[in-house]
Amino acid sequence: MSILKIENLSKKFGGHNVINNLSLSVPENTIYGFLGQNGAGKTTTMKMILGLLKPSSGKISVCGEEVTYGETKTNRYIGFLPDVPEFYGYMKPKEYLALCGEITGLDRKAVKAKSEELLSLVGLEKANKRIGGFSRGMKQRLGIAQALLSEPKLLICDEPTSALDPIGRKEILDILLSVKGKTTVVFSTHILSDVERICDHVAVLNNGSLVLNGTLSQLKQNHRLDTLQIEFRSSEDLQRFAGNECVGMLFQNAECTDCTVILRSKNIDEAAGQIYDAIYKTKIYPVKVEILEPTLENLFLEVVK
Amino acid sequence: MRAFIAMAKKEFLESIRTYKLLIVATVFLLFGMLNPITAKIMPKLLSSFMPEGMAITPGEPGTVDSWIQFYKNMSTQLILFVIVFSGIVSNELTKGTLINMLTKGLPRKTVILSKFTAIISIWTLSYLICFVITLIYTRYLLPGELPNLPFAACCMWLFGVLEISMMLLGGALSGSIYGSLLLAVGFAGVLMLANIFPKLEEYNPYLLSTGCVSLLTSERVPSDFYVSIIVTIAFILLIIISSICSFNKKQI
Repeated sequence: MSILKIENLSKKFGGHNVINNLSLSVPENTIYGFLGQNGAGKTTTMKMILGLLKPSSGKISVCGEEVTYGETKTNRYIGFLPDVPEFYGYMKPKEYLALCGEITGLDRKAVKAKSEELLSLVGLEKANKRIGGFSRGMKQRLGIAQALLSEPKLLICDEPTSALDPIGRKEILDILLSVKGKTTVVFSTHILSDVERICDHVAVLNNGSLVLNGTLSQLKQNHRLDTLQIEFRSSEDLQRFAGNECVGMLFQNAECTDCTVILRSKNIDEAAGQIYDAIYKTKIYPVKVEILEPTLENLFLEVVK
Repeated sequence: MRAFIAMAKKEFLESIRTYKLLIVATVFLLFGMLNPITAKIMPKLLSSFMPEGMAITPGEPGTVDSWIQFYKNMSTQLILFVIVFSGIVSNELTKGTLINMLTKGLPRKTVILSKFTAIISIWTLSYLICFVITLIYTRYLLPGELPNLPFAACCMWLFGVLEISMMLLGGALSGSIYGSLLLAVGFAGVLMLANIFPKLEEYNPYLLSTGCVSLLTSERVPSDFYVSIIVTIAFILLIIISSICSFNKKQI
């Protein structure tokens, strides 16, 4: 079952089309990476899912219930972490979580236990001071705690790691990874390494429409280029190797740089066979022979061109 | 209901921890003491500032002079109150603190209603401080009995409620402090202009702020105010309903 379903969603700001006929569905218990450049429409889409912005056309449903603009009941399934979460600076974290608990209608005792559990999960159990004095990373963590308080089925995070240092980023990603299984996570980002680290499903948004959508491994499989990279000890080795008749054909459209050569072939296994034959015959041993996997960066650059 | 109480409690906590309540209460307390004192010493002050040779003989100050000061100063205090609390809706919108609350399923009307309840309670409390202090000091400095004292006080209080709800509507409509102030001040201006027409005076909520002294001097009787009070209450209800409607449609 898909926990979030978007059908033919469009959004116009003035005459400008921000979201263009967007359709996607997020399967349960996945970590769904929502990628796109700055201004691609990620935040706008998320705000429409939360009923904070009014779609120009299209339909959004969460857990099978349709999202209505303004007052929406579907928000009870959702935990949301805004890109820059803002809190009441005069409150302490526990007071803030207690307020959140009252609003969601949770039992007071349960909120107390849950907030202690969450504060230690996000590493804020000792931060017993007013939120006004928090650093950005601490606010981000408290943001995750408040989003997870009601044990939502769907956790939406808007660029949770963009403003953080490498350690803070890793910690946030670890927290997101740790809630997988209990909660479906949709998170937007433009940091590709974060996606590779934790996401199992990826969608790329460009100019308001989806240009890439699928599981990470599936995408890599589909966009696999038949490319082989060979690195030699020296450029002389490379020249001598290229002169060999077994590989002459392959080297006709090769990219050579100093000691490295990149070869493309329609049948990569056959090409690799020829290379190994040539190595055996010429006794020139390369440092590295590698079939290149497409990186997410290559994919991303390719689709947003 | 729980969400409403929680949000109202949050508003009180905010006004305490951001010192807004302290500022307003202190100012209202000071004015409460000043009203009778200025009434008492004003004649002496006036005669001491007169150039030599010129003589006016101001009459002895009476109980009513203290209350004239009260109502005159209350307009200033109301403006101050509105300025201090003008960000109650718009600050949350510009900072984005409401996003966390609304995405947790907090009904939007609860936001407006809880803010209205909290701010009117603070207004009532501050007003009561000023009234009681003025009452005590007047008893001591300028003793005397006046008719309709509580009724007149309620009229001015109700006018304050009207202005404060207008400020709330301004915040819900525009999402900025300036919108709040503009609407509250503009509305008072319109009421003032409408006061030019004698036929409208009876219906005009403005009567509640300008006519209080005439109640104390028995120029008017409470029944002269009934129509105006009904109109004011109707306005307040209408303003709250429109605040909720406009806030429901707001893109956040």
